[in-house]
Amino acid sequence: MKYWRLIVFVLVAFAQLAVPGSLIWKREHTLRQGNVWKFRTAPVDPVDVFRGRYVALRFEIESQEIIPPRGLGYRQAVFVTLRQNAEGFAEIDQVSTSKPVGDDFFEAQLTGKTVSMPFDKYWVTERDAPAAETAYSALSRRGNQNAYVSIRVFRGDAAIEQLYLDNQPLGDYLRGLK
Amino acid sequence: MPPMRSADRSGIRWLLAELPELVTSGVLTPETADALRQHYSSQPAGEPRRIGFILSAILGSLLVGAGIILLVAHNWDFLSRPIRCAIAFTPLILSQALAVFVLIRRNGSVAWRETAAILNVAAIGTAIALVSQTYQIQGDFARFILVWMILALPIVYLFQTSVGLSAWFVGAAVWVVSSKHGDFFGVYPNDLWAWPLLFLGLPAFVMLLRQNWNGYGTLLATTALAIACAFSLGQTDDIGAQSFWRCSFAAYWSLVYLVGVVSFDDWRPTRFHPFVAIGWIGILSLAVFLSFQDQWRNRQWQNAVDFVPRHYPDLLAAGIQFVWITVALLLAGYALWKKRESNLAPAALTPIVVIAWLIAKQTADGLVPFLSLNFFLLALGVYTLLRGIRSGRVFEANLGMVVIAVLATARFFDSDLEFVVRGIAFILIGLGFLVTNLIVFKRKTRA
Repeated sequence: MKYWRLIVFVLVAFAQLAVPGSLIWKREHTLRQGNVWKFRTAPVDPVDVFRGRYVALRFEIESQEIIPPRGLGYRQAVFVTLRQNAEGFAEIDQVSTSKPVGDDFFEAQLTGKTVSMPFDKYWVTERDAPAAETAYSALSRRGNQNAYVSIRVFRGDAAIEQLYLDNQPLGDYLRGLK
Repeated sequence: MPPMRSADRSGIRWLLAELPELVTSGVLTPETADALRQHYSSQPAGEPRRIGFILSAILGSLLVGAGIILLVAHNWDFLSRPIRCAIAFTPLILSQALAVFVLIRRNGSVAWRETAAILNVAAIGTAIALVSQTYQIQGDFARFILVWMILALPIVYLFQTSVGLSAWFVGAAVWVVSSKHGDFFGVYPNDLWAWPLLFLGLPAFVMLLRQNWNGYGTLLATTALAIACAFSLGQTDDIGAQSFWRCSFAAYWSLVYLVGVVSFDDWRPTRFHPFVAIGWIGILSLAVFLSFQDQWRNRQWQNAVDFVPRHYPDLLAAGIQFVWITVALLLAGYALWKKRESNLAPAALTPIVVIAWLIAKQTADGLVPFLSLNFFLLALGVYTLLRGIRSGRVFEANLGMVVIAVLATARFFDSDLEFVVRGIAFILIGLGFLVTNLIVFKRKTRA
């Protein structure tokens, strides 16, 4: 009688471990198996970029107009396949409701005639935050666009790898400034 | 000897302080005074110390939990990914180990159970948040809260923790507010799911009530439940019959008040349950707000969805609104039947607002609601004043005056009324005051 609580707790404890565990497993899988795609970030309003300790990400492909599959409402999930443009950045190839063949697609939300990427933040360290803010907004202004994010895409999942400023990873770029 | 309730202690302290004077004035013999002193000093001192211990244990574990979260939020980028993941799991595993220890060895102690539960619940959120940060995972906030809550729910039951249960209720409120942000304009509003979430905590709440009806842990959980219900009801009103929020919130505040008056009527010998005060404030604010004609002249009245919802979520939401009103009326009926000695007049707000709403609905005019709400406030004030005077409770008499004064102030700033009407109303209120005082004064001098 005394031990039923213990048994239930052990089960609960496994569930508690499994949730973050499965997050790790899924992302590691994508980061190992997935192909790298470069997503150019969209011009930003510099005032609006920093909220606490993350960069608010906006992507250029989020303004790319697509033909939405019929009968879908706002914020419904769709599969997005990718292609590379002439400059080597990712563009939306097709949007569909059924799982496409191949590895290079991910899930996103339909927002009218555009899709919304599953990312809108890039976490940075407390120490780097102010410098990253200035650098990102300087390099994402209209006419001076030199920021992109590398994302691994694998069969529906997408994992952010790195934020690049001026073709260097954020950390290297900031160290170069000092 | 039955265990002494903690609130009686102030009475005992007062009695012990009075003893020397009672002896000098000859009311008590020194022997009786000594016997009384002996009797009351021998009360177990364990109770206050136990509450102190529980409080400091809870506070300590909350601080430790918050500290862990802050450390984690610092986001150590100089650590590699596997190390960061290991760090994310460390507090979780440690808290689980503590929980197992408490379940085996310290299950009888409230302080240990609350501590283990709080640390474990904090560690779950920390682990998920840190892993998400490490991998730049961006689930939406509402979903994070929901996953966290569902993992924490078994803890509430296994450890019978009042703080954990309160966190569950507050979490449901946070979830309902944050989920609205993204999904409310979507095809399927999911705000109504707050109610099943709250229901999942209800058995634990009942257990807590059975264990310690008038305890502080129960008060905390009841307050959290009330707050969560307010948010959920607000969201429900948005989906259901929208103009009906007047009625459902009248029912809500009446219920808060009635729960304080009826369900916790033996809260402390000399004090009211906090819900009585909160209920008074809520009822007064809502009644004054609705006593302006503007609040009833509304374009919404013509909205078809407003009266007979046609779709499933709207219909369900309207049903929930009706349930609240029914429960408020039922509890008021029970109070009329069993607890006539308390002031039940504030709870009359529910039927009055419902009737006013029905009439406004039919006539699309604010006059009748305006009159009935003003009548309600005036009657409530006068009744409370008279009750106070009759029973000699100064506080209650003053409360009645406050109600009348609030009503008068509201009307003074009411631009809907002409000066003549306002003037006449003020004269009437003033006369009412004078006559009341005269009658009461005469009765007192005669008595």
